[in-house]
Amino acid sequence: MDATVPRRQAGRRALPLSPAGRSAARRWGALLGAFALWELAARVVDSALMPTLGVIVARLATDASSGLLWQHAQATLVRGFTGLAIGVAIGVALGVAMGLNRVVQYAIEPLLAATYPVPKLALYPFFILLFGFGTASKVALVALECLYPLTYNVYSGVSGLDRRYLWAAQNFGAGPAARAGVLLRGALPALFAGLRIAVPIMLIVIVVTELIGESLGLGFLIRSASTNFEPEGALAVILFLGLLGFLLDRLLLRAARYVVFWQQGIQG
Amino acid sequence: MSAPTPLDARARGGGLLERAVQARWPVAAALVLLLCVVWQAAGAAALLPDYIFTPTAIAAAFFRALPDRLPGETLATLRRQLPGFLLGTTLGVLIGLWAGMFRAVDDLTSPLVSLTYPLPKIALFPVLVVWLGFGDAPRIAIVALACLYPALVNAAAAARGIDRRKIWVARNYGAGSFRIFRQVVMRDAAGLVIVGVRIALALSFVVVFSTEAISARSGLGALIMDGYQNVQYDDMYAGMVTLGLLGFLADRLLLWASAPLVRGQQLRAIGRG
Repeated sequence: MDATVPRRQAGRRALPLSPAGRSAARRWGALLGAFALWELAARVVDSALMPTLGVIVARLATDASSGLLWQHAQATLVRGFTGLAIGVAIGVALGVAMGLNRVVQYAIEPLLAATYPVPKLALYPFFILLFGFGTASKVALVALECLYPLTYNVYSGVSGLDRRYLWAAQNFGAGPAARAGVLLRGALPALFAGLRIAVPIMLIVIVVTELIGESLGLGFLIRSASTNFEPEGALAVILFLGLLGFLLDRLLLRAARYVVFWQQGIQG
Repeated sequence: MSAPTPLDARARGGGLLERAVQARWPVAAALVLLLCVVWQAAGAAALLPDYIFTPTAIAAAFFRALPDRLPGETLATLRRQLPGFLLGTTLGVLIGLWAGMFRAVDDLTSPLVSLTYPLPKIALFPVLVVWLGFGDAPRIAIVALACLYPALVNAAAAARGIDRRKIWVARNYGAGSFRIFRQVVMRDAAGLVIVGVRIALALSFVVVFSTEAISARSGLGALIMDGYQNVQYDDMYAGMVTLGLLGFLADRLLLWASAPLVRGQQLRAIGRG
C-alpha cells in the first residue's frame, strides 16, 4: 500500500505488532486522540459554552430517558423515510424508463445534469406555500433532493446491464413482469449505491428544514437548545444524529451484502 | 459522467423528427418548453393560486430586482460561500491525497471521517453561532466543514487508485517526492479529485443558503425567506432564480477551468458527498 516506505524501513525499531495490528492501533489511537483533545480543550476553556464529553453524554442520557429525544427523533425519521421512499419510487421508475427508452433518456438526462448543481433546498419556501408548513413540504423536499442520486444510479445500472440477460429471459418465454424482474435485479447494486448517497442527503435536508422553523424534530431540538444557551443540549442531539447516520450507513452496507450478495462491495 | 448506451439504441438516420431525437438536446428543450407553456396557460386561465407565479412573472420579478437588491445580496452570499468553499476543498483535497498515498495517514483520518461523514454538518451551525457569534465566521466555518468531506473522500479514493507502477517508474528515473506528487499523483488523480470538488461546490451553495435561511439579515437566503414571510413573492422568486443561476454557472465555471486537467475524461456529477 505504502508508496514511499521501503527507503525508511531499515532504520526503524521493530514494534511488537504486525502491520495489521499497527494499523488498528493507529485507527483507535486517532479516535481516542480526538476525544481526548475535545476533553482537554473543554477542561482548559472551562466554560458552559464548551461542555466536556461527560456533560454531553449525561445530557443525552437525560433526554433519552425523559422521552424528549424519541419524540423528536420519531418526527424526524418519519419525515425523512417517507421522503426517501417517495424518492426511491420515482427514482427507480424514472431511472428504468431512461435506461430502456431513448426518448425518455434524451428528455430527462440534460435536465438532471443542468439542475443537479442548483440548490433545490432554496425551493423550501415555495414548497411551504404549496404543501403547508408541516410535514408534507419537508417530505417533498427530501424526495426531490434524493431523486437525483437515485435516478442517476438506477439509470446507469439499467443501461449498463448486460443485454444478454434480457435476451436469455426472453428466450425462456419470460413475460413483461419477469423481464422487469431481471432489469430490477440488474439495477439493484446501483440502487444501493444511490441509497448510500441519498441517506446522508435525507438527513441534511430534514435537519435544515427543521432548523429553519419548526416545533418538532431533532433540528428544532438543536435550535431551541442553542437559543437557550445550552450547547450541551445541542451537542447531545448532534451526537445522537451522528450515531444515527453512522448506524444507517452500516445497516445499508449490511443489507446490501445480503440483498446484492453477488456483488462484492457497494460503492457510492 | 459516462453516457451509457440505452438498450434500444438503433441505427442512425431517418426523418426530421428522428434527426431531432438523435441530436438529443431538442428532446429536453421540447419537454421544458411544453412544461412552461402548460404552466403559463394554467396561470393565464387563473387556475393557479396567486403565490405560484407564471414563468413570465418570475422572469419579470428577476429583472425588476436585478438592478435593485440582487447585486448586494448576491455579494453577501458569495462572501460567505467562496472563502468557506476554498478553505474546505483545499484542506480536503490535500488531506485526502495524503491519506490516499500513505497508509499511516489513512489509518489516522479514515475512522474519524467515516464516523462523522453521515452527520449533517449543518446541525453544528447553531452551536458554532454560540461559539463564534452572529456574523460571517460561523457561516464560513460550516461551509468549509461541509465541503471538506466530499473533497477529502474523493481525493483519497483518487490517490488510492493510482497505478503504483507509475510511481515506481518515476522513482526509478530519479524523480523526487514533490515531482512525483505534481507529475504523477496530480495527473492520475485529477479526474476523481475534481468530482469531489464539484460535489463540494454544489453543497457549498446548499449550506450557505441554509445558514442564511436559518438566521441572517443579508444574502440570497435571507432575501428568499424574508420574501416568503412578508408575502413579497417577487423577492422570493428573484432570489431563487439568482441562487439557481449561481449554482449552475459556478458548476460550468469549474468544469471549464478544470478541462485542461482532465482532457479526454468523462466526469461523474453525482457521488458520495
